[in-house]
Amino acid sequence: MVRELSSSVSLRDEVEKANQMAVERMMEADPFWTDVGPAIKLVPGMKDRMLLHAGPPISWENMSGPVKGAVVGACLYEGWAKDAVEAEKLAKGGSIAFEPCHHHDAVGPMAGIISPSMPVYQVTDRKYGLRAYSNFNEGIGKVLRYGAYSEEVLKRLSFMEKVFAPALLAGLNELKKEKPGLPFKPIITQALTMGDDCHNRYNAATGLFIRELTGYLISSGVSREELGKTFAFMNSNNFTTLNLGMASAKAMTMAAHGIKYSTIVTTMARNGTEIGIRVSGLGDEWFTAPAPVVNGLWFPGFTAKDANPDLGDSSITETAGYGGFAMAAAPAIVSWVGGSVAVAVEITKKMYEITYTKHKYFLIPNLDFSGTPTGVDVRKVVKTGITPNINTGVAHKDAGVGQVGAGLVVFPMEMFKKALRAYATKYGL
Amino acid sequence: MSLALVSWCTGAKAAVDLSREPASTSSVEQVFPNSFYLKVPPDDLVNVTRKKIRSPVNINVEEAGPDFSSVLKVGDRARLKGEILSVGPLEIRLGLHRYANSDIRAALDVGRMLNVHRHLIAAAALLQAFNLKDSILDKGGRAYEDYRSFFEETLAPSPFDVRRFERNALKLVGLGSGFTPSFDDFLSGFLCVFNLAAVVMGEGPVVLDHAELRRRTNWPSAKLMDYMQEGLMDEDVEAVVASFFTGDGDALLFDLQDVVGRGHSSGLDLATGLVASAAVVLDLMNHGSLAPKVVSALGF
Repeated sequence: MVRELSSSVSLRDEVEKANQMAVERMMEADPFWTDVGPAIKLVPGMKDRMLLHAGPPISWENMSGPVKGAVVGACLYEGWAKDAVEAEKLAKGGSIAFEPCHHHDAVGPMAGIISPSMPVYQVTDRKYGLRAYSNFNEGIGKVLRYGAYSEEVLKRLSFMEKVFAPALLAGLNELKKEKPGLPFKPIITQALTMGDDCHNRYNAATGLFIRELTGYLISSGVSREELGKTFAFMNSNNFTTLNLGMASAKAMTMAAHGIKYSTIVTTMARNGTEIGIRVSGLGDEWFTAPAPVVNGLWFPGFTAKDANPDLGDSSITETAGYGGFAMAAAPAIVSWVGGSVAVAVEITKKMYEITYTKHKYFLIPNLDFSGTPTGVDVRKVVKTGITPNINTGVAHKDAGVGQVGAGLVVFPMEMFKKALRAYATKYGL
Repeated sequence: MSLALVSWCTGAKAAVDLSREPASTSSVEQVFPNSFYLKVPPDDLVNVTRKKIRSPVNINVEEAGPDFSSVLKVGDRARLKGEILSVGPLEIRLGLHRYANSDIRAALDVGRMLNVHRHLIAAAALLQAFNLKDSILDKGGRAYEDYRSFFEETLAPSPFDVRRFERNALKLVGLGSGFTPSFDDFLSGFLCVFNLAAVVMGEGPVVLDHAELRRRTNWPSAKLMDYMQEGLMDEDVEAVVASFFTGDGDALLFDLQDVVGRGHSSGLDLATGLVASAAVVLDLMNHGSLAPKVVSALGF
């Protein structure tokens, strides 16, 4: 049966109206950092013996090395297993539920494993009332999210749960005596003008965040010793605010999701085996393809042969109109991800061809304060043949090793075509 | 100073046409940054392109190299000597790989083709949703009212009248924007599917006279329409036709997207022709009324 649109309105008009609404909501969303707490307390639907992961749904059998490594680490951290062998047996045995972070309004970088006891940030969109979550950033190198699970990794996770998170919460509560939370959008806006891209370069954002929070941390009552450790941890890790940036992006894209007829992409995420997208007007269906290989710069002792395919929910930043799409704002990033300044600018310019609009608030000074490319439009991706280009960290393909580099990656076309095919059958009939 | 290029694929027809009379000289008919057309005596077209898409009339060359419009001009001579095609300062080595269309009519499965009628409506809606400026579906386009009349008066009415189609289609050849005008691209797509399916419809094929086409539009566009009405297709179009003939609606919706991508609106116009034609073919096979639904789904 052919469903007929009103004779005075065509599908093309509906698509344009819907996309306009989607990107408007994405840009006007106003994420505030509003809470810190264990995942089981804050993340909707989180349960005991559940692990959230990055990317589209995946079973243990199909997980790549670093994700399995992170799962093992999470099991050890939670005390569900006493060693890696027992942890793997548990994971294989079916007594752990694996679900995408995205299905719980959350995002996690790289393996993206969030376990019940892990502290998470809560971000609240004060414009549309939605909430999003992310775990805490451990730093770079040999860390859980890159698949490592050594004693050093577990010790750090324990520090984050027992010292760092409570300190941050105390500081936040002090701040909340004056305002509803810490607004994160102004931090992103400023950071983009200070040489960050807010995906793989968070130097300025982390500095701004520490500046905002310091006074409240000091008056929060946290002990000097714990304050010292907290500041030392943040100062040692430029990626401290990556996860808040991701949760903010998640909140912005959630505001744009679920708009009938819209062809705007609201999720782009990788689980190390597959990459998937979701589209505003197509509900919660994932459209997937094999995860792409990263064109990387390698840490000493590692080469491309060691690399796992692309991994992580951090492409939520590009989905929201910053990150790799704003690479032109971050020339120094090429020392981390490779390429050249010209390539970084070229990537941003190319992304304008597949996005619906330029961001109202995220501006790039050296492109004459042009707004960042915002709102990947599936139609434009298919029409131009250009797919999202992003930057990313790279994990070793084996469990237990960690990060081996960072680089640039081009997303495959297949999932966008699958999405458009589904769009045609949903709205064309 | 000559510039050497390597071709990784030569269309089967292009290879035959260029070597037909070794002594004859072809000439550059049109140049773009990444492709150019050759006119090969007596009256054939060869497209030399950096694009990856293969066709019986394409010569695919490596991506590296100069902007063709900076090294070639219309009228430059071209000659094939052995494996080397010399065009102005370019020396293109033709490889051994050839591309020819498969015998697609052999894949035609009347029973299964009827399964795709819903997919054709979905495809039509999808094409409309692309909302491309200057395409045949662009309501703001200058020629839109002419297109609308054609779709409503020639394609939508049942039963489909082949003679009325030939008359009315010829009137619109050359209409629309683009180097290959929008209606020409549409007609290429339409005639390709229609004529390949003629054997099962009891109607057609439609053969528009080349001299008539030539009077109304530019030579490359007229030749491309000629080739398509004879069933000479590039591989993306062939994939769509194959999906239709084998009744694989999901593949049709997937493969059609590759056609949409080409040019500014050429691909969309071509895809519109493929879809509209498929609907008419099904109606003629089945005494159905799918075409008016597809015309409506296209936004007319």
